[in-house]
Amino acid sequence: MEVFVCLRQTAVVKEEPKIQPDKKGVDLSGLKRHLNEWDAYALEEALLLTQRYGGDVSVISLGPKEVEDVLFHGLAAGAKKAIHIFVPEREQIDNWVIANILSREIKKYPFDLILTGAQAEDDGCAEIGATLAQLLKIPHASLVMKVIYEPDAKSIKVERELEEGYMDVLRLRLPALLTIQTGINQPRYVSSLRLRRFKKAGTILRVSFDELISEAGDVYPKKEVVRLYPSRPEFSKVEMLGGSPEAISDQLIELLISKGVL
Amino acid sequence: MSEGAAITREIFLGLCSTSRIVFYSLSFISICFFIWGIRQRLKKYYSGKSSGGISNTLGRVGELLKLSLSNMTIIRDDLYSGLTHLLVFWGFLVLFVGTIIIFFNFDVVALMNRKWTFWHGSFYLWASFLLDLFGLVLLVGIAMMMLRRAFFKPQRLDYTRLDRDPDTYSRTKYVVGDWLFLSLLFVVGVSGFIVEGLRIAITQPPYSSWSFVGRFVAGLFPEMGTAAYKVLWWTHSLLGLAFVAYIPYSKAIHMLSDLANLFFKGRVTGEVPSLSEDELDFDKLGYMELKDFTRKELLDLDACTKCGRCHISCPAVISGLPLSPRDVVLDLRDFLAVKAKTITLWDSQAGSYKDEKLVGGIIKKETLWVCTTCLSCTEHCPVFIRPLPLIVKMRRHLIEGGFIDEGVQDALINISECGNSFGESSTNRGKWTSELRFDVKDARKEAVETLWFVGDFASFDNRAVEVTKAFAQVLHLMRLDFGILYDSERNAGNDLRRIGEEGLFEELAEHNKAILDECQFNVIVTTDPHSLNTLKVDYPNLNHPVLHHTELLNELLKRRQIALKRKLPYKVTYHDPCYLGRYNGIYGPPRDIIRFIGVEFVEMPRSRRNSLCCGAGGGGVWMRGENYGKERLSNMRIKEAYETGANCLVVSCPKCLVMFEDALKGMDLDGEFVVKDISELLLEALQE
Repeated sequence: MEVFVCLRQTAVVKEEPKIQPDKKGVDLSGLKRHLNEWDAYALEEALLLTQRYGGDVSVISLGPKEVEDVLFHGLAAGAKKAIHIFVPEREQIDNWVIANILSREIKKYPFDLILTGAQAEDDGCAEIGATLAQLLKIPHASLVMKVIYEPDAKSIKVERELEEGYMDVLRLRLPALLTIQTGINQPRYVSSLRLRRFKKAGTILRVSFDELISEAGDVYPKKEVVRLYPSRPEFSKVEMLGGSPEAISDQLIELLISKGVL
Repeated sequence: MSEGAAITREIFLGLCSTSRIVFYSLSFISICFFIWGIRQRLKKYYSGKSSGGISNTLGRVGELLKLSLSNMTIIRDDLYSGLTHLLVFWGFLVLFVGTIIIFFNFDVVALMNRKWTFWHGSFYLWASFLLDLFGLVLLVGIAMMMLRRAFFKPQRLDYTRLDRDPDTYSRTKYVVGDWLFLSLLFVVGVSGFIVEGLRIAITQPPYSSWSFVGRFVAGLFPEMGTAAYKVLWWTHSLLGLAFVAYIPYSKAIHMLSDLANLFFKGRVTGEVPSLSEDELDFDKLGYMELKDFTRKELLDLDACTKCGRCHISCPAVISGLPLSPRDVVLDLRDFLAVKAKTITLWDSQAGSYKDEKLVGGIIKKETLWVCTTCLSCTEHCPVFIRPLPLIVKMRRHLIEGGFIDEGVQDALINISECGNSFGESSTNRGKWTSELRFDVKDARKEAVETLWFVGDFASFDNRAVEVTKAFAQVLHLMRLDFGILYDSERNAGNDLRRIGEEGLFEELAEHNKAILDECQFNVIVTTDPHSLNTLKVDYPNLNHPVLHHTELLNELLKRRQIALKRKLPYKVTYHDPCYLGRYNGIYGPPRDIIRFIGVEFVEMPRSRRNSLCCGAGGGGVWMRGENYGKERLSNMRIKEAYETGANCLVVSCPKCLVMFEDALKGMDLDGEFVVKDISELLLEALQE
């Protein structure tokens, strides 16, 4: 079973994100990057499936030079092939372009299954998986929590997570694309030494974005960000009350009186 | 010939020259077996990696003589077994020296010039007396050991394993080996006295009262005659020669391997080896082959006598979890016995498990994760065997394979992404300072006298931050010039290293070292013994002293006139953190501070080097696994503290604090019982 996993590199955001001056994006400078959380589960599921049923995992990602970090992570975790579609920083692309480019590249190889995270931590769009499936004309299931391979029928049975604790069981003819929900497995730990070793000795197949774009013809972004802004009210002052429950309630009463609430 | 020359004994009384030739031939064969056995051991050690050279040879010899001749490390934790060992040690040593003297007199000196021999006269008489005396000492010692094994049956001699079902392993060979060793030595000694008795009965020397045991035995067998004497002589000789040949193949090797281990013992007992070159290059972390061990590690393994002191003092064993340092050492040794094709006599259980794989097979994964790296095993080992580096190296193998607890995995990912185990933004590292009424200097921007390395728990854990603020206030009250690294500080890496995440440790150490090198300060202080240990032991060339806050406070209290404002109402007991006590030998300063504060102070039964680990070390604080064995260590420890009658458990480690506070929540103790850091206690006493 040949499995492709599409990986996305996202920024590790631990505090209030800084919005760029043009209010169209987040300032990512100085932030650490890591593998999108949902994609980590997709990668693990692919590795588990090939461990169980044979075959290899290939990882693919697109973006600037830095995204090779997540590809090396994929190799260190057990993927056999890594493909990097190098996109220069100046290029303005959206998920439509990404899905198009990915489909162009993936089509060149034999595959039974494509896995990717149900969504990305940063934009949360959940659209690349679905779009890619459409472009490749293969069946798609989203928010997958369980995958069972049925080699004789050349199909897979998947369980999808619905709201209110309901599960949806589907059978998909292969090849197929699944977007994976977190919690489906426990992604393996890749030690920093192992990662270091793969960064030193691992090989990544580098593919030109421009070539793929010209192959694809007139693929251009169809969406643009108009504005990015925080929707919740901004608190001018937050004061933490401390001490025993009695002390906290006393302070709270005093505060409420001083503000004229009581 | 002078009169004195007549006072002696015949070594080969009544034996013909053929017998002598047979005896010398057998001696030669026995010594060949001995040498071959030693060669087998040395060959094994030399197939290991070099452990580096040793320095201070003279000092090491001094230490070796002190420790071995006094048996002090055997006596200190168990008087009975220590004293019996002292008896056997000295008995054996004197008899051995006596035998060497006799050999030297008859087989070296006598061959050069008969006039030079000295085995007669008053020398002979005194030697006879001493040999009889120490022979008796030896037999009494062995008899006491046998009594202990047969009737007292202490827990530490019980070979029952915690990590395997009773019917899946055997320890019979070990038991047979133990008894064989004791019995063989005992029979050699007893037969020696009988031979002596019979000789005295036959020759009736007028000076026989010097050989008082022999004379007593002669009284028991007055009429046995020379035939019986010859039989006994041969029995004794053959047993003696057999014993010599038996030494290097059995637990008797400890007479030599333990001396070697005392000589080569490491300076820092809690050290963890850095990665070796081949560990960096291959997918081969942990142990696979003989060559993956260092020579010192191989010697460590051979030095174990299965005395079980590590076993009964290990927190895992105490809480009934599947790890015993003794079994780790013995399993590794047996594993190597197969690899090196070592020949042993009832001293190996090799092949008793079908599993060929070491990590995850012979030594189970859960066994390796149970270790809290408390160092109690090495602390209680009379010959300083170090199971910790062995466990850490095998953990590296597990880390490489990704076989880790989910909680630990989260912590590791947090540390690699955010620099702290809490997954907090680095910018929040100094957040606690905003809650103080004074500013805390940024050591990156200005020179400070004392640079405070705060550590993860002390920076981010709500309860530990209380202590952090208290310590800052104490320093402020004492007008000490100090600063912190704010968001430039990263987890110091102590526990990462001991979990086996060596790569991440290296990255953190490199980062912290670079920042520290840019700052101007005289001394580093930390409230976290884990950070203290790694900065002191693992960071190369830090060039600055690293102090624990209890050391700094104690110094300040001694140097400056500081008046206490309040008498505190507590009766306290103190918990020694592993990384402060056993790792760095800091036992005095915290106690001095408690005495200074003037509260009533009681010690727990397990204190100082015998302190019981809280369970946080070696990644324990991050683990989500719910298997605590019989009882959580932190619960046990709080009970122990509570039973002293104290109402306050004083700690000096943020991780111990968090573990105890956590345990306390689930416990139902009568009356008030609190856990406080020593700096909180001090601050209370210094404030109005």
